[in-house]
Amino acid sequence: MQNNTNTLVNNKERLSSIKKLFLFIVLVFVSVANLYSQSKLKDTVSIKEVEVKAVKPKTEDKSLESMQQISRVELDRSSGNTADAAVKTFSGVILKDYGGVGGIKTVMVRSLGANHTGVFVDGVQFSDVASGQVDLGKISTDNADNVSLTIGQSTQLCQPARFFASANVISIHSSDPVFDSTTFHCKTSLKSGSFGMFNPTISLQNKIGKRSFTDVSCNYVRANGEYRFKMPSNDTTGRRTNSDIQSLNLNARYVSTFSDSSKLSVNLYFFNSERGLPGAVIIGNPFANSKQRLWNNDFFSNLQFNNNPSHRLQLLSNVKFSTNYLRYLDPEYNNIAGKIDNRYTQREYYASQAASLKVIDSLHLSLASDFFVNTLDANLENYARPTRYSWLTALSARYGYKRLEANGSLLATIVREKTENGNAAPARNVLTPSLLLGYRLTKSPFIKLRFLYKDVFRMPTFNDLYYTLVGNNNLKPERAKQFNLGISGYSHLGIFEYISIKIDGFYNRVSDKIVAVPTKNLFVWSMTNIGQVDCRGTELQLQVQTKKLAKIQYSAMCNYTYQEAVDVTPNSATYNQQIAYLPFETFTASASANYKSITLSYTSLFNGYRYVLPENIYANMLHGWWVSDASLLYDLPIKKCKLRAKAEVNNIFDKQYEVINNFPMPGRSFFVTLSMIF
Amino acid sequence: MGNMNKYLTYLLRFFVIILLFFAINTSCKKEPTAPRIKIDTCYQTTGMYILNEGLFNMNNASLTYYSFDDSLATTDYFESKNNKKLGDTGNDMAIYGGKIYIVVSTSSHVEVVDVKTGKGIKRIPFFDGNKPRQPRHIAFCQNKAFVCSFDGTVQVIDTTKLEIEKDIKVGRNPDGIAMANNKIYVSNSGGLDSPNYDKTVSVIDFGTLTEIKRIAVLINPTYAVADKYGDVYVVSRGNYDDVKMRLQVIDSKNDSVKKTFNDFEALNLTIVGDTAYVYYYDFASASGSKIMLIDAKNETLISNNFITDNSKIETVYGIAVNPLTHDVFVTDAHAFTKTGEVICFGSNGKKKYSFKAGLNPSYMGFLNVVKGK
Repeated sequence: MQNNTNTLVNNKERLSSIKKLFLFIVLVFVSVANLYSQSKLKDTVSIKEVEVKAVKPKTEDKSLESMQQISRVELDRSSGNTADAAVKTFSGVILKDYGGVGGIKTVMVRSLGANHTGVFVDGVQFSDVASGQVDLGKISTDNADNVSLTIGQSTQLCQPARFFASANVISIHSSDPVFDSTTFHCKTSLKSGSFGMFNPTISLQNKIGKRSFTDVSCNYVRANGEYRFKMPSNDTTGRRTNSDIQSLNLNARYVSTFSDSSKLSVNLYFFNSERGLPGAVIIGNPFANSKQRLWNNDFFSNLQFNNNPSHRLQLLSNVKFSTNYLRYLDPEYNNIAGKIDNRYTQREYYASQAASLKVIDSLHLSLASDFFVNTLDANLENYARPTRYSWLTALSARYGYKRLEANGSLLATIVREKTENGNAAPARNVLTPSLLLGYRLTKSPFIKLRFLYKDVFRMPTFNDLYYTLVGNNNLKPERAKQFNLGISGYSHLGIFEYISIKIDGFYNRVSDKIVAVPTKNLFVWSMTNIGQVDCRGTELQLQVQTKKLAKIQYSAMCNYTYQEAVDVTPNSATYNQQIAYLPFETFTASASANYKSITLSYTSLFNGYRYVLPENIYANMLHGWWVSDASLLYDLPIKKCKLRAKAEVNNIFDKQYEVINNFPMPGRSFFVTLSMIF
Repeated sequence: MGNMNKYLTYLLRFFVIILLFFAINTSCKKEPTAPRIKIDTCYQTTGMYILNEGLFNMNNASLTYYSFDDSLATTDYFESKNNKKLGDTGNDMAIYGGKIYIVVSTSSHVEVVDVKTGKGIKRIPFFDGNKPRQPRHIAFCQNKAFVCSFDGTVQVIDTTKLEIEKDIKVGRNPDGIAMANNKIYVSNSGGLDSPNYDKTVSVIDFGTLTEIKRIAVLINPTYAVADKYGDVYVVSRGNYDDVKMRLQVIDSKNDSVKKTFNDFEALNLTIVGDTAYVYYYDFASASGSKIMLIDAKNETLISNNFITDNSKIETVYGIAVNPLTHDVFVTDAHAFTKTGEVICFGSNGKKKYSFKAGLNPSYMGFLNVVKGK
């Protein structure tokens, strides 16, 4: 008891000093914002109206950085309404899915794990400093305008330093409402179908005054998540139980654009869920891991300000506070308590200031500085209770002259940590450069050469460092060197009003890879920096869109990735063998046909065979699989409303497969979504 | 005529005397008995079984069969003979009464296999209602098999009916079991409550099938092996930090610890005849494995290093000695994620040959049959 009071007191003290710092930053921020909102308006200039006939080229086909995007229209046609469903069709992506509605879903991009991928929603990073992995199933895409994956980093001028700190970035942008004659929009939908799915959503957009609006949305999911399975690896059949989920997601945004075009936005996010964790299917034991449960409770609030986008000096400020609570329960553990009931609370206090200056037409300089504090508290015995202070500063320059485009950046990361129990990780100061080069060969058809070099690292997570018995607080950051060389082009060709092709060759070298090895005994595996991985591969992407042929417009895309990521750790027992869970080949193809208000779509995803352990032998192989989905969309305008009906069939051919060994995926499933927009 | 009668009488008398003489002689002289035909019954080892533990939640426990006739190792032997997999985490294996008992811990069952054919006889599930018991190790006494389970119980199995007859409650998280002096000794590790380990060994009486005593030992007791002198050797694994792994000897006559080997660390052992083969490896320094020899009769260290040539074993995970040939078989699990191997040493500690097994090979058993059969 005495211990608890002391830790409570310590927590309060620590919290109050952080709160003071946080308040100070908010004050500074608000005063700076005020200064800029008072600058003068420029004179208006009128231009002659010009009709544009060609299809607008997609950003990802012209950009300096290697990028893939899925738009709102494409999101409507594809299956699922969470971030994982959106990114799994991207080239170079392997989705690690534990199965079912509530199963955890993380991504691997070009052999770099989830810890190397930053996930941003409206410019705010979703981070989990305990595990380093973001569960993409938690992020809804119902209100997203687009979802993008960028290799390396985005070259947008004014962005926080954190955008430079990951090997790959997944970004989800919410749509800004368009108010024509009304000041109020409402969208409501209901999705129902397999797994006992019940998913109502509601979103309200309200215009306030001339230039402000609020956007509030609510998304509730309830499903029993049960399905029959037959595991291909050992012919075990059964029914997936304890995979129910109940979740509530609330989002609120307030955006205000001032008369000088500067913008202030306030963003609130709340997520609460309870789910069953079905665990691995064990031969002979249908009750193994049959009662584990997981609770999540996440909240963040973000304040963002950017000044007039046409100013020579661009400014972007962000202040954020977030808290994540996770509770894991195993009520059948054979210890004295008869259970494991672990509770973790993470907090993050974040402030960022980015500035970008147009020196001359061809040269832009940017400087961004982010400061954030992460804390983790857990009810584990003698838990370290670490606090990490991170300061990131990114200096970048962009030069564009005629056919040449270049973007260089340097990121300085300074990290200090302290703990309440045990030793803290040592101080880290890392400097990582990156260079992007683009050379346009021809204008029409547009063909461009792209090159990327990026030096990146990821800090060890709190679990890597401090988890009881497993953690190693001397862990160094995991480093990666990324190279990409590609050619991309777009044009129109015959019946194709838009066609784009991308070919990329990439090479990643990971060193000091954090790997678990037994260092105390067989049951206790600790984290060490012993791994080195060499990954090389190619990505091929093709997208086409046809003109209206007999009133029907067709669009199709396909992408293919081949990669080899081998273990090159010196003296490794599995030297030159493919790392675990990385298929050599992945292929996605999708096509859709649109006739007036009906759209039919079909997507097929192929993941080749992979090994579940580092040793590449037949006994460790998981077979490859093809999974196909189809959807039918029907829009019906009624007076001032628009009704939409969507029917989707996932895994049409009822393919039984596993992504993670012994976690069977669902077979065929159906969903119907009815939405009303007015 | 009279003389003739006289001679005839003499002859008759002489005849009777000789007859008597022969009668007496032959009755004293032993009749030769029929000669005994000596039949040469010779046992030989035709093969051996190796249990491959596999990895947790991977469903890849397996059985390797190595045939001495053709020097061929068949991995997935159980799967090939039975068209189904063993299960998840093969934790212990023992051959008793012509049957192989394989304790598959995470699948929570014991697989009983015919030792000659490799065909499964029965799969015994270990569940308390809907809760898996997680059986860990097995020991035998007369016609019963005793299996200790991680939920703090010991199951008694009849070796003919192959059914669980009784559950006996012992200490926390038992992880070792052995039989000596008609009593069953169970190590209560308490490992799932680390660092609050248990530190007792439960004693079960065979007659009443109840726990009669708990012996105090060093914290975190696990593997238990009995010798032929009524001693039970128990390894206490400490706390993986300052409290080291130690080998203790329990005397089954008075059920108390009579000796603790404080000079070295030990991980596990096997005892054949008068010799205990004790192995250890230091995970932290990864300096390789060590096999020591201890005299089981006097409990003294004979040799610090059984291996006499320069053979290096990365991670010893099991030792078995063939009682017929005295060859010592040692398994090497490497880094626990790569298939292991079995190395055969002569009794002089020199490597003879090796063969590949499965993932994390541990316990081994020999198939000894009569020659020609």
